[in-house]
Amino acid sequence: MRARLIALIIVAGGWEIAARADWLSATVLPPFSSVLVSLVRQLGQHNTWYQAYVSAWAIVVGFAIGTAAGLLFAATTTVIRALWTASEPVLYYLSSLPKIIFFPVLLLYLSTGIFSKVGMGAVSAFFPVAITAAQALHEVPQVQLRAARSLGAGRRKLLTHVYLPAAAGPVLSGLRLGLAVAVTGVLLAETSVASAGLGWQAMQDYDNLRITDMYALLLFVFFAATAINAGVGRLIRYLTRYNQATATRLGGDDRLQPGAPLGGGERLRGVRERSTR
Amino acid sequence: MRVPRFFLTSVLIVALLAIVEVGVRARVINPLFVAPPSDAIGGAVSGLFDGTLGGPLVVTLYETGVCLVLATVLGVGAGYLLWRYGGLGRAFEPWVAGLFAAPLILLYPIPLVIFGRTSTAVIAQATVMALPPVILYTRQSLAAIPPQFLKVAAVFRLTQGQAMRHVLGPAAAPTLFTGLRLGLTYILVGVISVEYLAEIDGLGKTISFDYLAFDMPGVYSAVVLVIAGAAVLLAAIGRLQAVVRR
Repeated sequence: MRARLIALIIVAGGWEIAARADWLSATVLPPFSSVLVSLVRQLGQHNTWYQAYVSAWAIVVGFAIGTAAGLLFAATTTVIRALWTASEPVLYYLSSLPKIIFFPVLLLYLSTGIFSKVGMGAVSAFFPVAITAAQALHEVPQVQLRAARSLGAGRRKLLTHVYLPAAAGPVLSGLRLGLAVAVTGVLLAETSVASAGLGWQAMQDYDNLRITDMYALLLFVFFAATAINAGVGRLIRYLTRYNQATATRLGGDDRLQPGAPLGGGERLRGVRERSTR
Repeated sequence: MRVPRFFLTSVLIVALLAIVEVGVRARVINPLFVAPPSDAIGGAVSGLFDGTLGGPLVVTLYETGVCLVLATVLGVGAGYLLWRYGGLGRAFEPWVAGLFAAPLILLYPIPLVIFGRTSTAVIAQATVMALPPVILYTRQSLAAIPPQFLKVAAVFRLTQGQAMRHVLGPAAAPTLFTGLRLGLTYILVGVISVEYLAEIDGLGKTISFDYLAFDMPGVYSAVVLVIAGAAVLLAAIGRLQAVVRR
């Protein structure tokens, strides 16, 4: 913890010195202290929270739609296995693409208002959720399914007592990844065509050469995104604590590798590789 | 009889494209919004040769290549330092991991302020986005090398360079390539997104301009090329990774 703080002080101090010594123009790199002052000022303004609310609304709705579609797709591929075999490579490649290339199409269908941003959030979230959920459902051990069936479990009991507990960890990790890319997708779309939202506000600051305010806003977005990501990660660890205990007892470790902040477990590595922001 | 995956995937793609083609031709899907796939693919192929898409593709590939080289050199170097000096690693790795989780693409106005609307700004932004995964995976790949390997290198009195070439490099390569592959996806996102948003030469700008001109076949042709280019690059690095792993 102390080492991390020292690293933070070194970076912030270096930034401050570089700006004060005019190594870079103030237009390019305003002093860190000025950015912090601007951040505090903006946090006290109603406008900042209104823009945050607009972005949050688009993110939450887009994420919910993308998640629902992803889970539905995963469930369908569990029933129709050939569909998963055929679509898996396509999904992987599509998930690697920059989603911004779909934005013009979304603008045409959903107009330039908030719904095109919701669409970007949904498209961004769909791929990681669909891939992780489908993989998790397909990797439920057959022995568990056979054991449940031999005990008389029907479809509903299979779903609630076998599939859901076995797939919960990876699916939740997919949701976490989906949320992270939905945040990026929505904010990026807002920087392109929008009339409100944090992305739009950052571009307003940039266009009007309020670079210090832009840095402060980006700092706010970064901290918020990182805090949400960390919070969801903790929630996932709490919700899947029983699975982790079992994995540890069995000698396996399905948790994150150190330094890899998104996703969870060996089988998600491929998704982390391919999913884009 | 087991049907090969390649066949199933091809059938799925052809079926989906055929449905869209028929839908657009029958005007069930609005042709103002969606170009027939035959037009989009045909436009992509002809655009490659008449220069309307070939030129932007070359620019995008050039930027992607430069970013990959920079991310490899800087990222692997930084990852090595974080592994070599444990204190440095403990201090900075959590912050690099934090950056990995943060939406770095939103920083794109900063390179625009520094470099203007040029290829350099695109390269700077995409390289910054690719650095965290390359750094993290490099450090991870080196940290995962069994200590016995290092002891053997010491027993043979290898110099640091020799140990790197004969022991550390080969042992770390598989995980390191995973980082590079991940870095490449971030580079593609960075390059195309900045080209699109800041209207800097490349396929991203072509998509943006064609959209503004309401030239939907042009938009879809450029999208087809982005998809094809990304698929080829990712498949190439995937194959390289498979070779290294073997």
